[in-house]
Amino acid sequence: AAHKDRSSLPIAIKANELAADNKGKTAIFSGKVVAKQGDITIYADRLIINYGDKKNDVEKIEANGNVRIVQESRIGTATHAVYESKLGRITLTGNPKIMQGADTMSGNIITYFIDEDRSEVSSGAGRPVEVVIHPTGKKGNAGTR
Amino acid sequence: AVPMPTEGNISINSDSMSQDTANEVFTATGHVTIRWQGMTLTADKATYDRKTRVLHATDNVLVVKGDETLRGNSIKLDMDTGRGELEKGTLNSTTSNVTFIGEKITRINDNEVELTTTELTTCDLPDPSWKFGADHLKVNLLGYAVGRGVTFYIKDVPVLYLPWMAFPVVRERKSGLLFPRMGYSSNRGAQLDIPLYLVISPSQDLVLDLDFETKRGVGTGVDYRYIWNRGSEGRFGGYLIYDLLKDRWRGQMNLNHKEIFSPTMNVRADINLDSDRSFQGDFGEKSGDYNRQSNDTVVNALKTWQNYALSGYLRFAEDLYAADNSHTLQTLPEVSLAGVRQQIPSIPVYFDLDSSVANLYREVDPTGQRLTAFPRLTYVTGLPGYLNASAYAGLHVRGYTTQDSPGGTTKENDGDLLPELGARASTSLSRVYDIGGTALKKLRHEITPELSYTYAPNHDQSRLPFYDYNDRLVGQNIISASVTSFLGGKFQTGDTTTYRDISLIRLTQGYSAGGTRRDLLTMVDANRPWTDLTLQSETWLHPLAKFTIDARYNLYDKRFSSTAPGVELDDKQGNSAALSYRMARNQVEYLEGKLATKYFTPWTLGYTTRYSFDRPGFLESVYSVEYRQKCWSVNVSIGDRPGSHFSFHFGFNLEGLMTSK
Amino acid sequence: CGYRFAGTAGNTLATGQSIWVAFIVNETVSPTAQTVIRRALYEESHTMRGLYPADKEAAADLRVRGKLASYTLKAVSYSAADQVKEYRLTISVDLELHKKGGTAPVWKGTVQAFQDFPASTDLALQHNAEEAALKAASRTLADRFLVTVEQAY
Repeated sequence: AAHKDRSSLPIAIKANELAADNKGKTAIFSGKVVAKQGDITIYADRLIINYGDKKNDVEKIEANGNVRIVQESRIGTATHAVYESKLGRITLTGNPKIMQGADTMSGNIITYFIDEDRSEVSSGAGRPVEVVIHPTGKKGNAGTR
Repeated sequence: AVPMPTEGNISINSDSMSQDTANEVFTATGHVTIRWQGMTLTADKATYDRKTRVLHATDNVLVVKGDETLRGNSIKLDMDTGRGELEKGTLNSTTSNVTFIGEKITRINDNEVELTTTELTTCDLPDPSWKFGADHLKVNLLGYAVGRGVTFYIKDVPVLYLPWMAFPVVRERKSGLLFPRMGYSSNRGAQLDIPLYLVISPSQDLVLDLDFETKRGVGTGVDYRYIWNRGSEGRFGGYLIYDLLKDRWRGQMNLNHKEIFSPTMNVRADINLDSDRSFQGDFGEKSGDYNRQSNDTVVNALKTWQNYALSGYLRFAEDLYAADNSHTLQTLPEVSLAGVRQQIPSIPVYFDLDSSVANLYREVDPTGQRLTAFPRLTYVTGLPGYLNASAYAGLHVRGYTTQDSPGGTTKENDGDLLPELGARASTSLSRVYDIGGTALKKLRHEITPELSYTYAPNHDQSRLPFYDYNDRLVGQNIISASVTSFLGGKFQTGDTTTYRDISLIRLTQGYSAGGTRRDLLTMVDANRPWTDLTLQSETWLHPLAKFTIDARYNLYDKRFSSTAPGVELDDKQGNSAALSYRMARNQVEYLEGKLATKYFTPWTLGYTTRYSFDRPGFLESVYSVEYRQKCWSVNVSIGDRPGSHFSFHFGFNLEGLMTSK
Repeated sequence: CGYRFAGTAGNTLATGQSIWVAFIVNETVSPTAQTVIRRALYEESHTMRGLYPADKEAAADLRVRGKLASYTLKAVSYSAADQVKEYRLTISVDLELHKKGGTAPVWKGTVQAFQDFPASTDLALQHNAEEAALKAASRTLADRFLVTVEQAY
């Protein structure tokens, strides 16, 4: 399924400190950062936003330290995450984990395609792909929250 | 190792994984390992659909659960029902080392598997020495397989076709020869015995066999084993043949049944009946059958409480050595009540009781009912730790009602009272020796000297009917001394410590002042004041070598009145030897030897012989040879007995299917 | 000489205690084994360790439970006419020893003993000999049990 370009969606960020660098067109937030765009919320210690050519166009968000990304019933955690809103793709590295209801997925790198509702987990650096699926009744919904 | 997921969870490891959350399909590729409820599945690729809960795994599929392994190139596993369908795979289970190859293997649940166009063998693949092919096979891994359209191949040559067949798969309970046994014996002629194995349910199985004998005709045998429910089980065996030599039906029946109502209440029956008195002699193949002394039918009922046991007992015996069975005493039935160590309150005196009421029958006189009771009080005392003493006094009470007594010497109702008293004194001394040897670290030696005295007045009982020795109690006035030595060792090899008995030696000597005595355990008591000096001993020269010797030395004649040395060696790897010599002066002198060796593997040689010095000559010699391979074995045994009794048996076994390990 | 009386030998079964032996569970063809073996365990525990029978199971310092695993007769000698002259009675009992207050058994294992006895032309008299053999084998079994329990030196 073709992905929608999400870069034009408004983004709201809360943080203790902000350091903007107009020339580099980047903004660095640090200290209990919370960034919300559409149905995705990103929590992290530090957030670097790279703006696109057009003003207020968010091309890429880099999150570092205790990263938590929440979308509906899915929660992703890692030490480092890159959200490319143009490509509708989030890449989690550094002990990445996705919890979907009671199912959990972990590996070396997790790539999540937001609009295709699909995620890819690959192993490497001694970390195998590990998925634990909690059996729910066939009729049960996608997972008890 | 990765911990097993909790009960229901499915854990998937792989090189990479993609999850299509919309229609909830996980796709794992590269070194996929799936763990679920004790099962481990590995494959190159696997997809799992959360909605239908169906897992597909392909390429190098290996499923291991418990002692069962499934291999194939693709499997479809329904995680709800546990049902798995494997294409072109093999299934083997380590408990029964049977391998199944099948076009399609359907694993219905943990214990049941169905296979289509399948082959089964216990030999190593790829080209097994034998195999069964079957269009359809249903295997219950608890015990048996049922096949349709079964062909038996030796190498790849079809040898036998059976439209339907059931055979044992897992060994513990199932045994019984499935393959024909051929042979010849002088009193049965050429013999072909074909067993057919029928399984009725996991807890009942039946082996029928047809026994063709050129001299005797065609016999049918049945061996039915059952466990009806916990505590009610048994085994029924039977054989019936129309004997051409004797022109009549002959056979035997034996039933062994247990009904366990509770740990303190049960009924046990062991019924053995033959059609005629010479059946064992004509049809018995091994020693213990063809020279059997009696066929006994015994039924026991038992109920115990804290101090008392009530038992009902019935015995019917057929004396095969006697000319006829008319003199054999039958107990139809006997009810007995026994009391054990019931304490008289607050004093160290204990009440014991043995009592019974029996209905005794035989074809010759006298027959009738007998009541016996032997209540006694035992005073238990001593200097705790140094000297242990006890004394008892009791009364033998007997009552008889006798029918049609011969010559009128016994009255219709009669009875008798006879006191008995005795005492015992003993102590025990022990010491631990530090040896510090390479293997033997310590020795513990204990000596138990003991003195005992028994007194019962001499008393004429000739007027009482005579059924057994309880009707002729002997007067006694006998002191006996005994000393028993127990030697045990503490052995250490590596860091494992084991304790083992090394020897138990008991010496006994008695003196009876007047009166007689009756030692039921020997044939050679000359009944003189000094008894024989009696030795009983068991010694383990080595954990695998046991030496026993019982002997009686006559002090007056200064020679052994009986001696019975015996040695048993067994290296637990198939090599064993046993030799036993038994001499009781003027009664018996006999030697028995057994030898089995796997020295010439894969051949196993066996030799058993029984020699009578009284004859003198061999009573029997049996030579056996077995050629054993991983999945089949052939055994030949030749039996030779004097009086032109010769027998030869040839058996072919499919290892792992028939012979119980 | 280094030998010490049972009282001072520091045995596992200290002398002078009270012992309760339950009836041996018996599922064999023998009608009397449960009583004969139980009595032998009482008698030998007194002759070797000076133990007294307890009047109730609950009050006993020591408790013994057992199951008669096998009671087998085997011919061990034959006459010139190949007729049985002597039998060997072998009994094997699974035994457990418990101490007061303890739930797990102090000792658990299988003990065996055998006794030979002569055959007789009268099966009833032979049956008396078999009962005498059971008494003798039970005594050896009880002795061996009491000594084996001390295997902790």
